[in-house]
Amino acid sequence: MSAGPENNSSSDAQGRSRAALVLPLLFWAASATVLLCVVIAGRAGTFEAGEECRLTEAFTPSGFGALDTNDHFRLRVDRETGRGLLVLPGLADKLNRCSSLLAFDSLELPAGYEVSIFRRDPVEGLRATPVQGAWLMPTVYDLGRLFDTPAARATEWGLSIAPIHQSVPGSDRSSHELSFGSIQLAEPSYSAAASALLTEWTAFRPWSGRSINVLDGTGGAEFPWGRPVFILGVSLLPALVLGGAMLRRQPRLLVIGMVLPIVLSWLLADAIWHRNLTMQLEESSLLYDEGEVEPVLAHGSDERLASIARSVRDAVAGTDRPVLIVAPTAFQRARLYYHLLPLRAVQIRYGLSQVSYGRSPEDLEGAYVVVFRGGDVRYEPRQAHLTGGTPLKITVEPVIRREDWVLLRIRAPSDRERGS
Amino acid sequence: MRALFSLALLWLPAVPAAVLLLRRLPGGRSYTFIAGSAFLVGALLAAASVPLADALFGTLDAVALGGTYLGLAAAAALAAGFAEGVTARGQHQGPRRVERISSPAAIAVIAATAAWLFSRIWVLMQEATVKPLLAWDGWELWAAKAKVWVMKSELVAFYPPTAIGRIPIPEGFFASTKHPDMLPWLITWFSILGGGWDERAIGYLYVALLAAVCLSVFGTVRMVTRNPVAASLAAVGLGTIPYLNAQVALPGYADIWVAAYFVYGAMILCLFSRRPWDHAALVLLALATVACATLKSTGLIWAGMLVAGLLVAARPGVRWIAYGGLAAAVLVIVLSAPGEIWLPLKMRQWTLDFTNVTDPLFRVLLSFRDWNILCWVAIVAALARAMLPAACRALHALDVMLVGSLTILVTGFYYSGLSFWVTEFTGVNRGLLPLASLAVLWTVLSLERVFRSSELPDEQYG
Repeated sequence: MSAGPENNSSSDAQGRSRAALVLPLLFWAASATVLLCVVIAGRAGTFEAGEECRLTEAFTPSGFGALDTNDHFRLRVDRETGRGLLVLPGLADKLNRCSSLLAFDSLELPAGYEVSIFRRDPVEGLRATPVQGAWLMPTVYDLGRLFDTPAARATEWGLSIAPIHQSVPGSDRSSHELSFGSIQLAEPSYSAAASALLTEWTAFRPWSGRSINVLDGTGGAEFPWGRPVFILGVSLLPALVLGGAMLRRQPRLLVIGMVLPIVLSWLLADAIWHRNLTMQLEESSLLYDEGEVEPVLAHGSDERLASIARSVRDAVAGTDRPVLIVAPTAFQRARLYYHLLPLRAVQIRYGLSQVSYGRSPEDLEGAYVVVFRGGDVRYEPRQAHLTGGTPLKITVEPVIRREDWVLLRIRAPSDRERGS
Repeated sequence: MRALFSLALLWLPAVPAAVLLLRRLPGGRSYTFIAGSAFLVGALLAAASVPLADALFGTLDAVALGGTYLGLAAAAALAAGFAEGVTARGQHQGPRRVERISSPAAIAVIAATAAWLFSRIWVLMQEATVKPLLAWDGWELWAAKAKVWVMKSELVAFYPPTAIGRIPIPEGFFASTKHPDMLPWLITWFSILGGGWDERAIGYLYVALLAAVCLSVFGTVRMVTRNPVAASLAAVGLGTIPYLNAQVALPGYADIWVAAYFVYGAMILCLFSRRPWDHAALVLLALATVACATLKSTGLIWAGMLVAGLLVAARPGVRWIAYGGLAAAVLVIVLSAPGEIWLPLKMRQWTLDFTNVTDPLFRVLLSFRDWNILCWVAIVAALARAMLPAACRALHALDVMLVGSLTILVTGFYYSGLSFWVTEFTGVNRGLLPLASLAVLWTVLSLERVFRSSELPDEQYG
């Protein structure tokens, strides 16, 4: 009877030894299989730029900071959906220099900016397809079926990142120059796909540290030795385990030999994340510490909206009437709404039809409307009307008039206005 | 400083209830687990005290909220003490305290990981509290109501923005009403006790949540495995998930709260898997389930997973029914697409249409920037579990929760028209956060169990 536990103990030790050998092999087998599957699936589903392109012109919208002419971009387009992924390394850093807002990764644009994809048509010349990017909105822009023909793939493509309504050729381009790059789309080779995938996976670009409020280029610097050290850490796995396997009589050492590389890899990756976070903190402190608004931040879109909200609050002080917010972008509506609280602010997403169906204008009398320029809803100062999206005209009187926004107060139309 | 005072006021009164409720933990009393539990329970009680104070006093000020909360905490402590006294006799008496750590190596590992975590939490706290509320969902969904309630000192009514079209215009405020109010209540409570509306201070709540979850998972794994090194690794693993950290550095989201209560529920299941109908287990699991369901509308999925885990922990054979049900549901969805199907989620018809999201899904799951190497380690753990069977009640329950959550999410991404959430990386990450948190606990317990399967009797392990 007494031999039982000893036998069990011996077989347990053997089991653990097997485990120590099998698990790392499983790790590598699983990694290789997954990598292979992803490479094959990814290659079959997409086609990419044959080579990275350079922006051929300097891009300098006002208050924005310049994109460098040596900035690269890539386009990846899904064959089935026609969705395109616009990859602009470091773009968000630059966009965020003048923005208090953040992007989650390097592909997102702050409010008020849009990406336009251009193609140089052999017949019609430069044609634009603006693709609106919203703040914290998707990084994948639906390009429709732009790229689904061989001819399209051979066409020269370009892109522009600019304030909304300024990026279409022929519109006001005084504040920036159009950027344009050419790109030839081609199927990536298996090796290129694998290489790109590994690069992406090991790039360690957590959103923090680089994509929030980066003031200068320092926050975007790659942690210099992070990637090699990480790869070294993972590569040590089989060596450690094989060494540990020689110590079969000491199962605890085997366990340590198995788990330690994984733990080290985790910690190494985490150290890089921590480093980025620390850099992010330095930059956030520069921007926000003690509540002081830095000059750069003061020109950010959020601070602009906060300033508008202060003006509106002062103008409507004491009112309990709703304050309607009409703006062309979701960011302007939503952020101004937040800044205006605890006023009875409400976002008008669907134009005047959201407020006017089945009601007489008197129902809204006394309510205020903040209207930004550029949307469907327009203020007509001569007729003192607010129009757009519905036959109804709302009679208003101006309270504040600025270049790009107005605060209006809804009033009942006079008899003469009713008659007209 | 007022924010820290508010934080202390949230945590301390809940300690007695947590201590009384968790006096007889199966693995011995763990003060780290009790400390973490006190915050999680206290946060729920604090949130609940907001509507209660408004109903009782008609106003929301520090005295009304603080008094109501203290009353709730005292009532919870009394109830826990009473239940403890009534049910203590005849129940399994485990060790009074979790075993002391005597190994110098283990102490060194714990010290190092604690220092690492403390450093992370310290930096996160500074980052989270230096800037205003920037997370879009934070100020549009969760903090908007809280801001009004704090500034108006009462629970004024909210209507959806489309209500502006009603005749007459409703006398109230306008905000999205598609999510429950639990998180806005908590922010309201915290802000009023903290001296007024200060959106920077909200970051303290998120940092404290992360610390509480780390403490809880350390205590749980230590009690379950009796392995302090594994417990340290679990705490570091959970506390350093990049995306979880991101939601602390960028406070304002509800997902981290759902993830915290979901993984806390999983911890309770691990601890009490041998006696899942224990009153302490049921109370805490009920709290975690209610929290998941009331923090965000999609939290119903995670609440359902906790209920499934409870059933499997009570009767492990139920897991085959759960797996069968999942497979049948997936089959129905696959065969129904394209088409329409009625799902209990939001009680409406869902349009089913297949979208191949394999590539972006892999990119999300396997990239290091959001999840470190969690998915890779989880793959190893899954293979190890498959080749070296070493399951127990606790792991059976976690298996069902993990597989169920993953199946629902992945099927949803492929078939329910939510593919946009995958290609939009922040969306899918938010959806995956509770699952990833659970995966850390599951991975550590699985690997530890594989290596020590012969050393711990099942009744000790769960």
